[in-house]
Amino acid sequence: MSCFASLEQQFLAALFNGLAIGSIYALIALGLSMVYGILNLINFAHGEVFMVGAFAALGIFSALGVDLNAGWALVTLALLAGAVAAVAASGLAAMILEIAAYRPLRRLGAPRHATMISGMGCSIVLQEIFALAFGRANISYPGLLPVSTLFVAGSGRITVKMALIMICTLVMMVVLDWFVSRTKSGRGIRALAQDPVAAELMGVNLSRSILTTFLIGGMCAGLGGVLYGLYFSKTSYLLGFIPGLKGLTAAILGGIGNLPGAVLGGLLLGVMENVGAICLPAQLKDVVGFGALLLVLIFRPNGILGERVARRT
Amino acid sequence: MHRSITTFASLAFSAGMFISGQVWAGNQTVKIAYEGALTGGIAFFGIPIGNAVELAIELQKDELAKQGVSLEYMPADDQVDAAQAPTIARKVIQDDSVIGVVGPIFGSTTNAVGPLYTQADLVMLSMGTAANLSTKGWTMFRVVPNDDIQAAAVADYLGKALKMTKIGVIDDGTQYGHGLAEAVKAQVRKNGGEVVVEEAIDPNGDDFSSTVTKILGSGATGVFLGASVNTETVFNRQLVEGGFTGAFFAPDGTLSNDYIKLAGPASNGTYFTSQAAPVAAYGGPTQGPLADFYAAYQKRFNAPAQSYSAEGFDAANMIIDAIKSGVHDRKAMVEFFRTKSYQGVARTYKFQANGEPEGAPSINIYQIKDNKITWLGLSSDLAK
Repeated sequence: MSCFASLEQQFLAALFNGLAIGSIYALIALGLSMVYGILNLINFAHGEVFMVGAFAALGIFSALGVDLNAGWALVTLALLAGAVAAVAASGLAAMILEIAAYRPLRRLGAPRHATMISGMGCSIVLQEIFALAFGRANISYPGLLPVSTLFVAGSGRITVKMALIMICTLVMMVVLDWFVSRTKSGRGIRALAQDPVAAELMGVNLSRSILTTFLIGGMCAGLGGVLYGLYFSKTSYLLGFIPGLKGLTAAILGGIGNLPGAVLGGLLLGVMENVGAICLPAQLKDVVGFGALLLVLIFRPNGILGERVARRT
Repeated sequence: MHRSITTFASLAFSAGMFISGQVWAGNQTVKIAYEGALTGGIAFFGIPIGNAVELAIELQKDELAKQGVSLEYMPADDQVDAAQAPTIARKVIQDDSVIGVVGPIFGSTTNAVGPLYTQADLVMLSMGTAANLSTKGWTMFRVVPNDDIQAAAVADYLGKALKMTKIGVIDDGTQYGHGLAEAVKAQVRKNGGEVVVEEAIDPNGDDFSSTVTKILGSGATGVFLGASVNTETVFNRQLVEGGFTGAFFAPDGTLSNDYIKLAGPASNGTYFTSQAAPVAAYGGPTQGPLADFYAAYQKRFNAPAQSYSAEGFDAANMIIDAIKSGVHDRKAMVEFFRTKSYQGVARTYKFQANGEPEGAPSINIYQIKDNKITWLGLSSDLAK
């Protein structure tokens, strides 16, 4: 089949699949982007924060022992409990990371690359802790969501799982937008990102704001983790590695430090990967994603929506 | 001081071993070694094979004692680690009373020790399935059919038993998965079928939706994925949840009850090929020599026999058969395997000059039905 015929036939399927996985990339990109916005730091352990969320939710699901046969009310409760656990665990993990791995180095005035290496170290430590505790094989999620299709358009299908991912991501974005634009802590974070010195002079508590940023970013990743686990019905100690990389790509693609940019970057990356893979072998999927990143950066070096970061000197 | 005593003792011990190994008169000790994983991550797979070898020796010990042969079991734990295997093999080779080796059990370890055993004229009854192992002129005899034969059975079953002509063949880009996929494609085309989707997926990724979309768009009714169990199960789920209703085939390396846990309800209907004789848990025979072996194994080890236990039992019994017929040195043992045939509990064994099983050995086909692995039969009976 020619490439164009395949494109025509499979475009909608690729688009919907891309939007679903892209939503998860967006949730990861948000946390990376927020931290970068105020610290100019790429949190390399962010993928593991995501993985912690997937494990926490699985813990709750296993403890409750609920599956699809239990009726929709119990399943919904279990899903909510799992999501809360994932968000809480990932938020906590991100805060611990800040306190244990980043803050001491910042206090000592360590150069930024030292902080980055510290993050990479934490990433490996977290992976190995989970590998030791839960083994290196995949662990499957219980079947909590029906595999049925909600909506069909041409070759494209939106399944219950895909709809849930997109709705949760949308809700999270609305909440996040409200938080950064309407609350005092949110305004503090934005002030820090624009001008840290002035913000501190105006009474913004630097340490607390940074900690809040890690917490919020971790919570987004935690939600992403449980959704990813439900989507692919699995978790493993390496779960966060590839999504973490994709989240970083998405953040840079959209313009790092820029929250709408992170979401746009995530969705675009997901769609481009899937549409690109129609004509190319699946193994070249990542090449499409990173190739697009390269193209965008040539014409817009600060990402699609532009970088918004602290003016640090 | 303590150290030097130990050194001296071990020297004396090895000297003693050397001398006793040289003496072949009177009551001789003959050992059958088993090289496989007895500890480590693959031990769950290796121990039941070792047990079967030990059981074969125990059952024949008394009879051989009448001939003046004291038969012993020598476990050689290589953990299926190709880096450790040569050291373990050298230990086996240095013991002159070892007359034959059951194992190694994987292609990677067989590859690592093949030259060593060959140099020592020691037969190795390998369970490695990589097709190229038999091209190297080793003293290896493969007690299971190789992966090319397995792959052909997949294509034959899809084409001849299920009458499917449009086949998707996917692999994970590894030596195992890609090797199988290439051989499946060749056989599909040979049978007059069409390979409508062929591509490699990333074994570290989880999102295979683009490949699933291609398969659904291509109209493929049968799909084979050559991969390890982690990738296979994630893919199986996505394929079925994506709306695929045809036949999905997984290779021997993924056949285990874990598969059902990992792939969930989507695994119902999944087919497997395996070289291994069907164990009782997978719907193996309830009477006949194979069932008798399973009963004896259960009685001796208080646990059911696993995949390749029967082949391990047969391999040890072939060596014992040779000893009974008067084979008393390593070279004669190699010669015995080159020329003689043996009827075991799992199948009949006869080897070509290159160590491959003679003829077209059949492959076992399994399917998951109602969350249970079920043996469907032999490929030669099912796909005519």
